[in-house]
Amino acid sequence: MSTHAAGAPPVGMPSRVGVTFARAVASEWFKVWGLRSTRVVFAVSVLLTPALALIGASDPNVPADGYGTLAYWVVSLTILTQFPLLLLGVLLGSGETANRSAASTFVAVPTRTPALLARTVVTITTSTAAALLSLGLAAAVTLATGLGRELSTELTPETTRMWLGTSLYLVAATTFCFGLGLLVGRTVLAVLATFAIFILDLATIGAPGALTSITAFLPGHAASAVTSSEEFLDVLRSMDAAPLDPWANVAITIGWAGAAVLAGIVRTRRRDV
Amino acid sequence: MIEVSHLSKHYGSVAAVNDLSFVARPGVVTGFLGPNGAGKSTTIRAIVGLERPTSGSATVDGRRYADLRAPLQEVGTMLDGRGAHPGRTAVGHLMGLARTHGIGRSRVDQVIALTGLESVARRRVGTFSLGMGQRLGIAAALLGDPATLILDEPVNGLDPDGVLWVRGLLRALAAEGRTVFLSSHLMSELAETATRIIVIGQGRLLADDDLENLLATSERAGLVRVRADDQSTLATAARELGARVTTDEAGTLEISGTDAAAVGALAARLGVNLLELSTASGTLEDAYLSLTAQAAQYASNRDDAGRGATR
Repeated sequence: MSTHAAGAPPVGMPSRVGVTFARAVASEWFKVWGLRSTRVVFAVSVLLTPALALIGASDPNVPADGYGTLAYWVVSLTILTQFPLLLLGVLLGSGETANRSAASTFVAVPTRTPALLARTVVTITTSTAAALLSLGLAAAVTLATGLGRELSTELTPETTRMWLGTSLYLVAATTFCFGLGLLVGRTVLAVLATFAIFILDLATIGAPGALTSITAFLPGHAASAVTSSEEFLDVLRSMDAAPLDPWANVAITIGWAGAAVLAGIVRTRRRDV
Repeated sequence: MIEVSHLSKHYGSVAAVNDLSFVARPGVVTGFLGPNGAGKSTTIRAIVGLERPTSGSATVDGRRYADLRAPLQEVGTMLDGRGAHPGRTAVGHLMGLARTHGIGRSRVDQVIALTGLESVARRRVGTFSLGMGQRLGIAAALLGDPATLILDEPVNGLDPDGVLWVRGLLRALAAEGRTVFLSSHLMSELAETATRIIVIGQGRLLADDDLENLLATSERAGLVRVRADDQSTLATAARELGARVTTDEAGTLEISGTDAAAVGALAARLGVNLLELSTASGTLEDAYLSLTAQAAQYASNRDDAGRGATR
């Protein structure tokens, strides 16, 4: 390794000086995608649903009339396949604090909020891309199978809710996990909290009304609500186990995401790094 | 110019920095000296806004760091330890910083070349040696071509070639009129690089002076070292003249309270043949030990007084 004397005039300096939000977003985008861990978890998040969809659709014992629509076939998988995307959210939120590289970021953007908002934008963009790619690929691979050709692709209020609601839910849930990671600042703790919150909801599907009236307001409840068929929701409603409309559940997840990000930003602004 | 005014940082009941005030001026390399745990890194982190002071303030060119419009182009900061994500490449780390300020890739390549990191620029930082990590930290500090540089332990882990390069670089940057503020627990390093020294111990200011003045306060400054064929006669005569005489491990007389000329004249008068006669210059290490000893004594006396007051 050789060294050089100082003195060369600097090149590549900006004509317009200062930190802007656009520059903060460009920096965060570059940093997030420059990490192999991001690319790997993103790839798993995108490919897991299509992979399971293909495996299931290739099974001759799976009856098409059990699902009826392509939307239901695909989105019902996301209850399980959402977890890599949730993990990605946690990693984007807690990563820099956990490995102490946040100091570099906040030396460059000392007011902190622009950098944290920029990272929120990157998280929302990344999770939107992952959700759309995942659902789109899953639909495409299913249509290429015998099962897929028997499923309805019609856009009804129910299937529109499934496609759009699931996409929105995945983005909101990932953003919630990002906020949680930001707030906790420790990846392991944030991952454990995420799994506890989202698995708790799965464990209480069809539980007695009193319990459901609580879990319906948790950030993960929209996953089961928005991916369910109207038929199944009617059964739950008859048991008083579905107190809210699926869209209301999505709105609740979005609310949780906003609250978690806000709390994470406030906490990170006050934290010694 | 960096101004720290009555800065304190407490972690619970522990005071990492306690009512610390100093100024680091442009055109000068200011050394920030103290043992590990003295509060150097905490002070630096408070200056650049990473730690919230319990009280007091720190400004750069009269403004809080957080209020600077383009922080990287006004202050270059190298933090102690690895500030880069271990999964990122050196180029990736610098580009991530550069993009916040719209600094181009050509400047990133320039500081990579300046710090001698070309061959490892695309390697992940997690695989770097300590020295490479230090070079990357210096590259990050130089990225915005700032007027003020704050470097926390910049030579830690560098090879001798790297240490010489950093010394030259910092002197050159100060000669260009920049404010250069560097911390170290290596006294010899600061003595080679800095012209102004700030010494802290247990978070408190112990000294803030030019290096020359600080060296003059060293107990060994002006000490006359002498070897002679009849040392006992010379020592006795020197003591009779009021000088303080001791003998070091090698048997050399160390005489204080006089000077080399007087000792030479005394030896000639006594007919003692001198084999060696020199005047010891003060060292930063001696000055530092003297300062910290005084501080420890001060703290001890204060604690005693405090205990007495509560009895």
